[in-house]
Amino acid sequence: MKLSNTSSWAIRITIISISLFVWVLLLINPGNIMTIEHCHVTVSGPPATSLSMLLDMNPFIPQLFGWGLMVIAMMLPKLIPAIKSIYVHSFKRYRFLYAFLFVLGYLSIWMIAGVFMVAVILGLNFLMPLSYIPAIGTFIIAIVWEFSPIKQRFLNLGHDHRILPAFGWPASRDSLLYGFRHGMWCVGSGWALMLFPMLLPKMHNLAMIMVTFIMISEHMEHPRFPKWRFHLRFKLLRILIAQTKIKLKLQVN
Amino acid sequence: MSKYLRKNAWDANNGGQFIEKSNEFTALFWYAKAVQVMQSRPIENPTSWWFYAAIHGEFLINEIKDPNYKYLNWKNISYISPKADLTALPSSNLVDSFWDQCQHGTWFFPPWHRGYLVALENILRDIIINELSGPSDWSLPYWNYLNQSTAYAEFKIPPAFTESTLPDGTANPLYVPERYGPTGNSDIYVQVGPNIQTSANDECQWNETYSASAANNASNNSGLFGQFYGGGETGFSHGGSETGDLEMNPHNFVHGMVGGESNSNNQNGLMGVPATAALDPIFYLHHANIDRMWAAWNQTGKNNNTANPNWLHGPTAQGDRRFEMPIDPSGTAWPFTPEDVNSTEHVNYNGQTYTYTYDDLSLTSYETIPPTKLHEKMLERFSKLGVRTVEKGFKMTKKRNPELVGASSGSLTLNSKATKTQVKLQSSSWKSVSDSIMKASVSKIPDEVYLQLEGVKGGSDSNFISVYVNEKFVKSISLFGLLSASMTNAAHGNSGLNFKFNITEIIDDLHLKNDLNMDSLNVEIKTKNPLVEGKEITVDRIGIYRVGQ
Repeated sequence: MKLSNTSSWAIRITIISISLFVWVLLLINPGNIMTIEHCHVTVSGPPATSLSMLLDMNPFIPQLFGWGLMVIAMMLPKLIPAIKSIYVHSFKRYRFLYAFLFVLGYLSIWMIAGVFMVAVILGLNFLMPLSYIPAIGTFIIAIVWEFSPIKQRFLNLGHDHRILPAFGWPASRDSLLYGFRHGMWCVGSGWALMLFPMLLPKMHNLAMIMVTFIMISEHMEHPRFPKWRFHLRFKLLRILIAQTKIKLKLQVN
Repeated sequence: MSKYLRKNAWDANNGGQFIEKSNEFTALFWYAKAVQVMQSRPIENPTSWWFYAAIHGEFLINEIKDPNYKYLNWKNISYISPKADLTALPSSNLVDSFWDQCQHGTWFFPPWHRGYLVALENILRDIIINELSGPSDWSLPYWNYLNQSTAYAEFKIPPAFTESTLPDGTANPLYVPERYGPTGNSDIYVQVGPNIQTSANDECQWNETYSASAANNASNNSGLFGQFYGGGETGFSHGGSETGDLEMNPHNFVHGMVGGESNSNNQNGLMGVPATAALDPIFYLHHANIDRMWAAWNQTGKNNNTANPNWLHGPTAQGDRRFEMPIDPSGTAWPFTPEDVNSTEHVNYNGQTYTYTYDDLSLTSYETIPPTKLHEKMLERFSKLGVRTVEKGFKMTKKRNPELVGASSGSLTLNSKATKTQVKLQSSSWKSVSDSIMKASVSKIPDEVYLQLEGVKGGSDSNFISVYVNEKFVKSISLFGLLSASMTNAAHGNSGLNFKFNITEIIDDLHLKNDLNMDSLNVEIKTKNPLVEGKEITVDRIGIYRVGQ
């Protein structure tokens, strides 16, 4: 069964609107939650003082909050197919609840990952303040990970959209578990890509936009047999180009 | 401009033989000899039989790990000659470009297979002319198992496919030991019959709508049988659930019946599984018949394919890989789109116009009485429900609004032969169905009701299941493609297959008996072949949906 066009568009518009709103927040960067602030002490002071100053200027919890916003902005559009699937396979009155539980489960996994990620980001900023080396190192790891069979396995698992129970507590529980599971596969495939923009001393907004594009694209690709493969997963770009060509051709004719 | 004629493998080949009454060789003989040549080439050669079979699908790179189905890994298939040299695979570029392309469960099913056949036919003809000094007008024969001929029992596989040797004394490559037939005893035939049992027929030919976007008015929005002729509107689909009427029956049914399941070890025959099917030479005669039916549907039935640009431009329009076939040993590609193969009259084959036709373009071979047309069917429904209408006095919109109204609890493991279960209906959702039927009028079109088997998984590809609701038969379906759809690292990502059944008539009957006020439906699923331990079929859920306007 396919969801009606009306419901399908309603889901798309809602999700993309939320994502865009959070993107605006991120770009405004309230309280510098999206960037690591430095001063002359954090850059060159003695280790203990420097660490203390770094944590004073960049408290862990607001940084984690910023991480959460980044996940919502970047990852929410990726969940549209799963949310549509939950909607069509659920009783009408429970559709929103089950979709909400799924998103909650999914975000929880990214937040747990975020605790480690933010610690790594702060740690690397303490050890190598304002340096591009951590970002370059992560970028290399992300490239290797990108073409590895392990990443392909995670991407394949992300296509395992299970049919949920329809009634009662099992339906709520499995919606949440589905979110957990989907989140794990997503963290598994995208952790390095997500870390990269956060380690850039500058231009990390631009990097975030590019990473979002790549991550949405790669989750749109069909599952493939896992092996080392140089494969640029730019499906979203290919769709945009192809559809533009078709529309131009139709206009000419 | 070349024009070729594809002929009946029985009638035009002296009853499916290698030698004509005039003592000349038949098209089947030349087919066998050219297949021999292709089979003598190693798999790394893009014009080898093995490479071409892998274009459809393979279990060579995509190896099966499940011990129950390892026999399907190409390295374990005795039919594959040692000359194939499976240890030396083609370059990864060739594999990525050409292998695992077949389109199933999608509106691309008819055009992809047409392009596949055209490319293979040209390679075979080239061999027949240049290496075997055979006829220059050779064309691929077709096996019309639905033909009600009085001269031959055409529902049986042509005899040329069961002989162990050719007239020249060489081994017959058309004979495949891993072909078990509908009863599992290697008697190969197609069970032909009406849709009230597990039988192949050509009822699909009455459907007048290629796909959802080709529906020219709201009343054929769901197709005559609840599906569409060509399939669901998808992207590149190497195995899916949006199976069109032509693909399900006769296509899938014939695969399941010819491949079959062996009585001795319950193994699937090669034809029964998409990733091994194209190894069997009968595959191409079966698909020539499916292609013939599509051509007849267009020409004799005067039905149009969809004009949706996403179909005409092929899967690249949706960011997926293109369709392409190798046309020489170096792997030169013929990329094609459905628009290139939209008609057999003007195939755009590698920049040239290639034309072929069939010696029989009758719309149907088995079904003779057309079913009630959709509009009349709707009027009949109104009449049955006691709604007073005038001809054309009702309006349907194109809106389709599916909503779950009932579901089974937990997954279901099918037993050998029959499994019964109750599907619980959610009271408030079900009430909206009964209200829509009870209050039906020309301005309030009653709901249609569908049953969907969701997340069907297993490996019994050659098997069939029949679904009954409250003891009434609904439909039989083939499980062709189930194994690949149940593999995590294959194109379908372990989602299994979904099968949709229109049960509106049964629900209407319940309403007329005042039985709609109920809290569950009794569903029974019967398998045609027995299921052995370790090879069970599971169903994640059975869903009941209302589809309102």
